[in-house]
Amino acid sequence: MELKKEIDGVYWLLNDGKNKRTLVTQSAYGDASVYGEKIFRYNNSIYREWIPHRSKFAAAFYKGLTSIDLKNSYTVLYLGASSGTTVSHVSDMIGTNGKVYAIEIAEEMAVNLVLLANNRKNIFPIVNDARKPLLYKSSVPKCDFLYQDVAQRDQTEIFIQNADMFLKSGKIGVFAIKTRSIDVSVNPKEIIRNETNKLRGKFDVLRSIDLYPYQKDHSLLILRKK
Amino acid sequence: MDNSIFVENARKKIKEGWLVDDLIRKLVMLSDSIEKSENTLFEQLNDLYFLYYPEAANILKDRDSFITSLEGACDRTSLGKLLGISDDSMGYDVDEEDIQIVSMSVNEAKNIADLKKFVDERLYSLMGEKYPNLTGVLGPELAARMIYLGKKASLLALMTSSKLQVLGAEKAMFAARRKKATPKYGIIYNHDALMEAPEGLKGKIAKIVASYTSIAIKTDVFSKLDKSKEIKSKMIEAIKRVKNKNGIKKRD
Repeated sequence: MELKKEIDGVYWLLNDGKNKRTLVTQSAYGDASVYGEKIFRYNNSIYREWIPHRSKFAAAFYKGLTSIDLKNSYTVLYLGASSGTTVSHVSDMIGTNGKVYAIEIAEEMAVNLVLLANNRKNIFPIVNDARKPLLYKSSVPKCDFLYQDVAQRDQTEIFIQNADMFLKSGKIGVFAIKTRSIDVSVNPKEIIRNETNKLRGKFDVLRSIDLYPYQKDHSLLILRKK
Repeated sequence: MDNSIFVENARKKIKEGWLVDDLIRKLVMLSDSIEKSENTLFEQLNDLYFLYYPEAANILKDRDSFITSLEGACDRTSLGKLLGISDDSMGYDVDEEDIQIVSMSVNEAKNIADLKKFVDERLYSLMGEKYPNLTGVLGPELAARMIYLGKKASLLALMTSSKLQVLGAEKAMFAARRKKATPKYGIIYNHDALMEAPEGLKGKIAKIVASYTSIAIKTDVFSKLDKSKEIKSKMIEAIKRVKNKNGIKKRD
């Protein structure tokens, strides 16, 4: 077994002999498995497997994302945290000094998020609607990294609103587009082109990654705020 | 900074955020899955019994009659006497243990049926209590299913009646983007008025039922008064009018 560092807290676990690689994050909070993922031990550190079928961000690394401006002790705003699968890995990456503000509206999903936040002290759960950033403006500071995965029709507008309010200039926003939830009848490529055009005024589009075959109808846009 | 304030706020917000609709949705899902397991259990059980006593299993194809007949005893002699058929069977002679498995399974099937009845009763009483108007117009089962599909009653109240009409027919609705015909009805098809409606009028009557459903759910959510009788009688009148207008005599 061999480790290759990708960015802060994210590693490739290389199995020599087999041509197989596994994405892992170095656990910041012990060896508890959050959603049933595998735990690896290597040189006295604990690593949690990051499954591309469960997390769009992990799928992006499998599809060739190599460097992204997400470092230790960053403040992250995460919209659409759901039950906290990806949030737990982001919390690994930013470490115990970082903060991840996780916004989720659905109660059923937020329950798991709150339970996760009990163990991981760098997760700050907020049960609120990402469409109305004014409602949580008072509790969220300016952020170094914005991640959005909400799968709504107006998700681009939600992203722009939140980035305007919370993202520092020159920092990275990651935007998971679900083309099916924007419009089913239009060609996905066209949707992504339209949405990137909407974002162009305020962001530099660094990359667009199609997440097939790990996630269907999803693309990840890496944006930098101007 | 500690996240305990955020956790505490989130806990409070989740606790206050639950609605009775969540309970209704879960009960509908539970009732559905109970029914599914009831059916698979009966199917396999009947299949197993077929091996031992095919003559009886052939008569007892219906679930309720199967359970009531096998409740007392499962062996050929007593069941043959009960059904009035010969106990000289062409089935395989199974052991005592296997018959015991059958009798245990029959008990289990009966328990599941009782559970289903209990869940449904609770669901219907809940619907009658919380959404009297919707229940009055659609009947408790369909009303609960409507809330299940719409996620929340408050969302249903904001839907147009045409949306309510095709609720549950999303697949046909998406197919209509390519083909031309849009669906005439969704889950509303199971309403009594539509069941007995003549083929040519089903679309029209679905429209009427949907519009009164819309009125009912709006009354439930916004004014919270029980006007179910008034709304229902108006709906029945409107349906009669459509039937008369289209030259079909009412039966009663």
